[in-house]
Amino acid sequence: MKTTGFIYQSWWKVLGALLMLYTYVVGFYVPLRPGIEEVSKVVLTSGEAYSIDVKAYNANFLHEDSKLAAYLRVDSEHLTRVPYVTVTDRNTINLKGQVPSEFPSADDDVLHASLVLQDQVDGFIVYPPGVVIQQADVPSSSIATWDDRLAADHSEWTFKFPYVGNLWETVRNTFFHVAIWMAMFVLLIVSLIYSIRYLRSADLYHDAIASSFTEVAMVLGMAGMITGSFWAKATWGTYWTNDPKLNMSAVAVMIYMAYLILRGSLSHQDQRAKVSAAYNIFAFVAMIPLIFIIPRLTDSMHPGNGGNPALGGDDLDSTLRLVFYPTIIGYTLMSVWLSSLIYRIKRLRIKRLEKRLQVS
Amino acid sequence: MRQIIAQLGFHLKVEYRSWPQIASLLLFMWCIAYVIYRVRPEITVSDFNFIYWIIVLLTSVSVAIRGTAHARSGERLIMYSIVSPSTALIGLLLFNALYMLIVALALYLGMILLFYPQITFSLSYLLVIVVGGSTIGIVLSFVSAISRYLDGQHTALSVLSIPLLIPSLILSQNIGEELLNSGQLETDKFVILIALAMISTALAILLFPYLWRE
Repeated sequence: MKTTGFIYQSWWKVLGALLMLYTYVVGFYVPLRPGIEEVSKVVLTSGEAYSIDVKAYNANFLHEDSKLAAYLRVDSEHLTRVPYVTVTDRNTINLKGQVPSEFPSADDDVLHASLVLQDQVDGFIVYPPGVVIQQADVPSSSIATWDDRLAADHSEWTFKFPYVGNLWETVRNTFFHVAIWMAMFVLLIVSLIYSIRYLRSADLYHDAIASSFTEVAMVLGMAGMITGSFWAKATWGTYWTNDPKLNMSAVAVMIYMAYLILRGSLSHQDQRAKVSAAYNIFAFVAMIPLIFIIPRLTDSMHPGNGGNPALGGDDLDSTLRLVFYPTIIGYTLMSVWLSSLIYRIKRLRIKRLEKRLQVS
Repeated sequence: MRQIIAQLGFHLKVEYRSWPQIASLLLFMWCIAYVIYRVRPEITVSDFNFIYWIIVLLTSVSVAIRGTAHARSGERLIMYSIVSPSTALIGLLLFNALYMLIVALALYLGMILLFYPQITFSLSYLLVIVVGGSTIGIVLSFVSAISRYLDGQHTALSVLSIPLLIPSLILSQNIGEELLNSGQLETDKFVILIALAMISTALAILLFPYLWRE
């Protein structure tokens, strides 16, 4: 028996365990950056004297070094500083001031301005939906004018996860839900490869590898659905909705459940191996349009589908990536380890059977 | 090519001789449709579409079981021993697609007769039925090939057929619903349905030799 094969080496198992540990510790321990949760007034008129209540999340406005400043920012050359910022709580502030009466460009009817808070401890806090400034019917005079630069920023970069609107703390689920599904696909692809190899070689060990990988992939699939379900409860309000992506992944899991039932219902080894290899290839190909094509064509709430951007680009910022990529590798390595253990059990069974056949 | 056509003719002849089978299938479908008509004569377009594809799903499983039973009948065994496996397979695929097509069309016409004022005949819906029905037939012939390999275990058949049929069924149902509601054929999804049919055919042809019983 070879003892130098990949599945006997321990470095990748240790690496997987360490990466998992890193994910769980960092993923749960690192706090979120502050973000603006609610703004009491989002439509302003030019020249208007406003008073806006801002409710932030995870902010630290009472900190003595905070030196909070607020701006209404139209573009990189036009912003106006809010003159009166009253901090009532560590997470709530009130902004009072006046909108400039002249628009930067005479062509615009409506201005879209973002609300920017500058905190010297946490850095910039932006409210992405922003506020809308309308042109007043009656021209009014205003003491406020457009400025072109922010105050100097002295905040230091800290290792914190971004605040993504209405996700709150659940942004951490990226490390679990998304990574688990990705690891599942890796396992299913390995399983597919070994099913194809089985059909070419008729080697029972290849079939054992394919089936152990699929079994673990199904555990991951269930875990992915459960974590996704909790995420949906937190952000959409229900555990399950009639959403194409969700339905299609349920169907994909059903297809593979049928694979496991099929294997369980057959007792003849070669027959089982052949049929399940053929079925596995068919199932994988049937799954691709289900999960990757149909949801993209229809309206879906799930990120990455139906005109809905994936959690990527701006949202998946460098701190998330710092945990997200190791997590995918960690989950994949751990599940490969688990499948290799199941494979080793199956291989012992095949060997025992062969020995018995030789004796008789 | 001539072999395939000859086979198709042979399959149809055998089917014609055992006409009570297809007749019972049609009766089965029309009975379900009639029961639904009795319960709810005034049906909405979406309900019609949904019920239609559900009946197709129910029927297709019985078609698959029938296909397995047939494959072991004497006449076909003789034919399989004459022609090469790949030709036999293509003939079988074509026959199954055709069979499912006839069944689906018969159901469509029957349901239009029942629900006439609400549901009217539409040529583009017929197109969806033609493509969707033949895709289902192709997937079914793969499933019945597996079950034939297993000496016709019906449990395996019903377990396998439904999950594998779901993609094409959901797609056809989606296209049909949008077609009936807006009157326009959604080309993106329709292309995917056709692609699914082609992929299923290619896979069935590739994998079938492994499931072929000498």
